Amino acid sequence: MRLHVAKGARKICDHLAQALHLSLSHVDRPCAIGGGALHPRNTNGGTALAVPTAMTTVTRNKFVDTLSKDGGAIDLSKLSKESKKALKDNGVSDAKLKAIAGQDNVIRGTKEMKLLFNYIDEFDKNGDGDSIATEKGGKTTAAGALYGALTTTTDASRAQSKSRGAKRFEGDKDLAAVADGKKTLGLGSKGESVKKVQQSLIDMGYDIPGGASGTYDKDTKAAVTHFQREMGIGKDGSIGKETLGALKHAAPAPGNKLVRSPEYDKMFADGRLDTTIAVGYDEGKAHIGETKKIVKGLKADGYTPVDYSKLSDKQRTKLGLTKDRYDPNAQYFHKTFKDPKTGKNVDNVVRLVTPGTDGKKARASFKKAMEQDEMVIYSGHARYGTGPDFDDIKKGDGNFVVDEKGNRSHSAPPSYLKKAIKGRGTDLDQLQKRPKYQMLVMSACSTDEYLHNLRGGKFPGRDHGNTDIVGTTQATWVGTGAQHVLAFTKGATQRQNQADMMSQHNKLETKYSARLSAGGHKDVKPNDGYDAFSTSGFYGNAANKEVPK
Amino acid sequence: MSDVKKIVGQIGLAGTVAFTSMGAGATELSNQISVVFDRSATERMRIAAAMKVSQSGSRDAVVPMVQALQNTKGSLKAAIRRALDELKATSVLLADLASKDPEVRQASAELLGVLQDPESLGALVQSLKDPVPGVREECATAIAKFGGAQQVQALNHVLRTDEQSDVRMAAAQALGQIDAPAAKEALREALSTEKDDFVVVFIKMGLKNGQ
Repeated sequence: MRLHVAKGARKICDHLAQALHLSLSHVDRPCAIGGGALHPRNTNGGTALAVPTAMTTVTRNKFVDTLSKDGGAIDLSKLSKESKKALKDNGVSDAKLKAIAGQDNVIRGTKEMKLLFNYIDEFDKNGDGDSIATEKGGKTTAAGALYGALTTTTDASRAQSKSRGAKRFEGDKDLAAVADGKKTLGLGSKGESVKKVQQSLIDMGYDIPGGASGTYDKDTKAAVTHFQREMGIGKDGSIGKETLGALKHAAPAPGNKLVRSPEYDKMFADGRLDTTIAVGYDEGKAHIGETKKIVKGLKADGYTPVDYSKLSDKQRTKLGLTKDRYDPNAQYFHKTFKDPKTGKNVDNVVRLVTPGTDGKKARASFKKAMEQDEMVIYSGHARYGTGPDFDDIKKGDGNFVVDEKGNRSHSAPPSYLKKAIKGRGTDLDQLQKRPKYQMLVMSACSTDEYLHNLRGGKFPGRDHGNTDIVGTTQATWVGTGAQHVLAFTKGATQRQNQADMMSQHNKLETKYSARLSAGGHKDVKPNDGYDAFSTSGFYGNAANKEVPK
Repeated sequence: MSDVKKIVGQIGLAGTVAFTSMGAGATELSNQISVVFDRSATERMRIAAAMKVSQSGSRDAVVPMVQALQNTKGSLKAAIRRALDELKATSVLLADLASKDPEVRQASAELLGVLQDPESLGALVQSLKDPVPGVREECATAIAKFGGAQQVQALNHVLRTDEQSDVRMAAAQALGQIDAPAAKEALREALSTEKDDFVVVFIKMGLKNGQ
């Protein structure tokens, strides 16, 4: 409930405070006095004759600014013991904090800090929805204790970035103005500040073909947009105070680069990599040729088909094809490779899921893949952001619905598709389990539309820590599908890092795009496709390393 | 590695032929085709470009426009298909299927599979006897996209007799797309005799309706 302080009430309150020898000088808002009366209204809405108590309050804006300034962030997976205790002692719900943080488990940026304020306000008794009382009568309130713990956490995150990413931007006047919210860098900006931003992005693995040129071009904008998407902050492609703060937080120290990687240690932990390659349906039957290319590619890479009927029980267990895991609607391939890190043998068991004539079966296979395999690669149509599909667009049997509503920023699903999947919500709700770690590769058009939902579903616990996603930001070419699938499969066995992965796949799109656009003609956009692929969830991976350049 | 081979590796044979067939003086046509492919252009611009390409009447436009067909959807796809009709694409590709150059024949088979004009089916079946394995394989894959039952006999013959496993693989895949008892019977018989594990994969997939 918000109580307004009538004009003049502050003055009266000040007089009263003076009479009571209380100081209100440090208080953002006066003590709550309803309707201009001298009687503070109690929290139940009634009035009670009581002596006003000195109160220190923090407004919503101050709360948000204090916590989010200079990239201050609250990483829920890395809270200090003290902070954890303070939150626990005051009855803060982990689930609610996680809901505020979203899939990355980090509360950062204005939007999330505002949500955090709203939640902390639930612990507040000052009766004002725009502020919290942090001290009352000389005692720290519950909201105050929480604010203190959160401030300590964001201070620590700033301190950590000071010796790392923030160092890159020290002493730069333009960037200081950006940090103060007085300036924004965007398309057309030039100079050393732009160069520093570009270099920090490059050192985190973002692809800016022109390098750190000092000119904020469309490639820089695309890289910034990718970064913003990964950080879960506004995706406008420009550098404002929030994005600069996130850069300070995420970038490695000057002279270093951040090598981000999928969690291969977790993927190979049991000596086996369970992979699913799922080929979606194409109305022009392109999936037939793509399937053949994938199988031929696996053959060329040394994989052999698995004949389930001829495997002993021991072999079935070794390959993860026990009764509960085996999928009779799929074809299996196997190859033993040497883990480049440990030198140990790892079995890559590849399950190939193809549309066939029964979309329902392929959808069931894909569901199984989502539940149990460490790497799931989908290549096909994105179906306007509604999810993978294994039969004709007008039929609903083959749709593994990620989001019934589909695209949020690209074109909306056509009516026949909507009709086909009406009432489905999301098939992610049907999942009964998940692997400890999973890398999802969604190689289709604009699958960044899936991102908001892929870690969702009723089965709990999917987040950035255990689910990394490779998606796309634009339409990809039908003719590159098999090449991407094979390269992702091979890349995993070579422990390919995130930057190399993106570079390889974006180049593949670029080359195809350039050739298709009429062979070197002046209108060819040589960079079309260079930022087609993007990742989500790789920040915070235990496998990441900061190394000298 | 030669440039041609590099490009084949990147975009497939059909794409290569598209660009090597464009001679000098085709600037305007090339301009319009690049607009058709330009993902940053509006759909209206791309449709207008497709119409201009169709008006050119140039056979050089056929190959890239078929490539465009499989990479587009909705109204743009319909406009490209109309343009391909105007350009008499099937006739052009069928002529290419009879070319002396095996790379052109192979590319043509691939693109006829994208176009899926029933008029081309007879020629594709004939080309299952092409002396070059790559052409035979591509013809079988193209036929797979038609899915009709008339080709069972020809595909079965390839599956049982072709020396190249890649060609038999494509034949098995094509038979798997045909929803007819004769196709299933052919696959069942081949399963008992086929020695190549990868061909067996496609036979099994075919017996499970392509799964």
